[in-house]
Amino acid sequence: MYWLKRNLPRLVIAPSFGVIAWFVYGFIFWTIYISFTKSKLLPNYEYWGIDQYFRLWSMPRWHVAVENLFIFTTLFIIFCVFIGIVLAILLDQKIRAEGFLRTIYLYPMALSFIVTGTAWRWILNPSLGLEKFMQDVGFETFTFDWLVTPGMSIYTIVIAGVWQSSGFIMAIFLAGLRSVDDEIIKAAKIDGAGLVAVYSKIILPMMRPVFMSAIVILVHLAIKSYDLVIALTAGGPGISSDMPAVFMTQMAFHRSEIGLASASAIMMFLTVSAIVVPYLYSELKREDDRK
Amino acid sequence: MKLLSKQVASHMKCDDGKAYCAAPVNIHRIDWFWANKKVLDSNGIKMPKSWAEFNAAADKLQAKGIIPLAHGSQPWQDATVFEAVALGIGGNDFYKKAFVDADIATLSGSTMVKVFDQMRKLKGYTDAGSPGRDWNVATGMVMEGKAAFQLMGDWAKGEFAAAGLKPDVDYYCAATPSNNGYLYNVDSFIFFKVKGKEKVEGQKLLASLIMGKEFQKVFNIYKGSIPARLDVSMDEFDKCAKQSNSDLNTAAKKGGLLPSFAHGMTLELGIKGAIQDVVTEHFNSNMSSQDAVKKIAAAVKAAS
Repeated sequence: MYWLKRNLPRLVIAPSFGVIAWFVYGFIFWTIYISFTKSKLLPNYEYWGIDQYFRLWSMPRWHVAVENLFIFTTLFIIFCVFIGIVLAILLDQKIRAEGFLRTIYLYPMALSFIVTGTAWRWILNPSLGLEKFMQDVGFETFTFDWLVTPGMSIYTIVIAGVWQSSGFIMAIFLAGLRSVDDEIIKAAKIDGAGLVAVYSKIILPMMRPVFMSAIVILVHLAIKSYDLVIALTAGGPGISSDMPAVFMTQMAFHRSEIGLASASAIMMFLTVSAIVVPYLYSELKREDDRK
Repeated sequence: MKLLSKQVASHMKCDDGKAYCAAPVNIHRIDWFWANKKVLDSNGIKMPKSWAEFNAAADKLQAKGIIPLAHGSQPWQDATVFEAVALGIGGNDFYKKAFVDADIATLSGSTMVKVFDQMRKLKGYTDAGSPGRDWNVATGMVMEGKAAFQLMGDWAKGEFAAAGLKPDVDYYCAATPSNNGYLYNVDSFIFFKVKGKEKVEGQKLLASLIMGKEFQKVFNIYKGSIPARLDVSMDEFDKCAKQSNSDLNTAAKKGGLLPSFAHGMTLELGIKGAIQDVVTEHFNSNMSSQDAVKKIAAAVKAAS
């Protein structure tokens, strides 16, 4: 009985631990192995070396996808965090109808990326949406055709992504701002600090952990972004707004190139690790130092 | 009695052609032009017999402010247009060498440059909202008279039929210009090997229903395609389907009955995808035709 009591938490956690170990970490290793094989339609377990990686990096389409990933991730994070912070600070000024406004800003998060993508595809379509509307009301020279312009289409994905996610980032920062002790702000004000100085010199630096959560969430949203791209541009015009996740599903499920798809998945995995692991490490280490 | 043509039957067999393992429901033709009758008649334009004729008609329509070609620039739609242009400009043997044999010299030769030149022309005949548009939305543009032509497989006819429109009354159908070519796509049900007598019986029943005359007739009248089974009467079909059926026989005799590459009837999927990437990239940028054929050669080599 005593043994059971002591080990009950472990027993309860064991099944989900086992499932995660197999289906997440097990399949990561499986994918790594498959990327070293010649697998086409079905897995083939014969070792082939790193040729799939050479094939991958010789494909112009993969280069387009990687370049787009960097453009998208950078702009997506910068704009989401910036807009999120500004909205959160504005909402934090003890204004009227805060609950109502907060819901409005947070609401896009309740939509799936598919809905967001489809709505923005209509809004940005030059012959249906914004451009046609502006021309119809009289601004005949108004053009906004990024959606159909190769080289600009990736920025429409940034617009839709930021619209969807910045409200969520606002909520995270708002929660962070609320946890700041009022006494600190009062003390700073007594010392003669203005509102801008209070936020930029005192409050935001105190919110490092909030930045960490926000950025980790945004990075993984950006790298796995698939549904938004599919709904908004489907990688087009041509292949100009292709992203690694879209590339990977194309290769795995439409082109019978499981080996190549695995190689691209591993490249994405390494990218996430290269950004997130050092960041987590430095942030968590700082917290340890503080103790 | 023979129920399937040799060509269709060859796609339905496994084990190196020894046994059937799939049942075909239809034959789609890819290389069709659909056009709004009112728009064409009022501008004195007939269905084009050559690509030069099409270009002339398109220039005329464009000058009048009508979109000549309703097109949704998605990779598969770009490839659909591309294969019809390749068949028309290059001819049947060229098409076979390029898209059945994946011959790199043909894929990157001077004829292919001409095919890409025509693609560039066609791009100019589409409207700004084209990228990403779904094919049935493009068909709608032809129905409404906003656009004159659409190049699309005969599932587009299903859309016209669903809107209550009739061939030669509301719209025209004609094969895209080629020398007795016919690009086909056969939809079929694949049967996997199963264990157990009951399951095998069930598979046989399903296969016999799919191959049934009544099913092949009714299904294809609505879908826009023609029956895969040879002895189904074409009496109840419309003019376009009858033409498709007779063209198929002519094409089979003259060596123009060819599998569609854009719809995965030929070529390994990796090679097909590689060609499609270049086609759609060329169509949606200002890449030159020479660069496009170079890219195709490199991409096909890398994929095979």
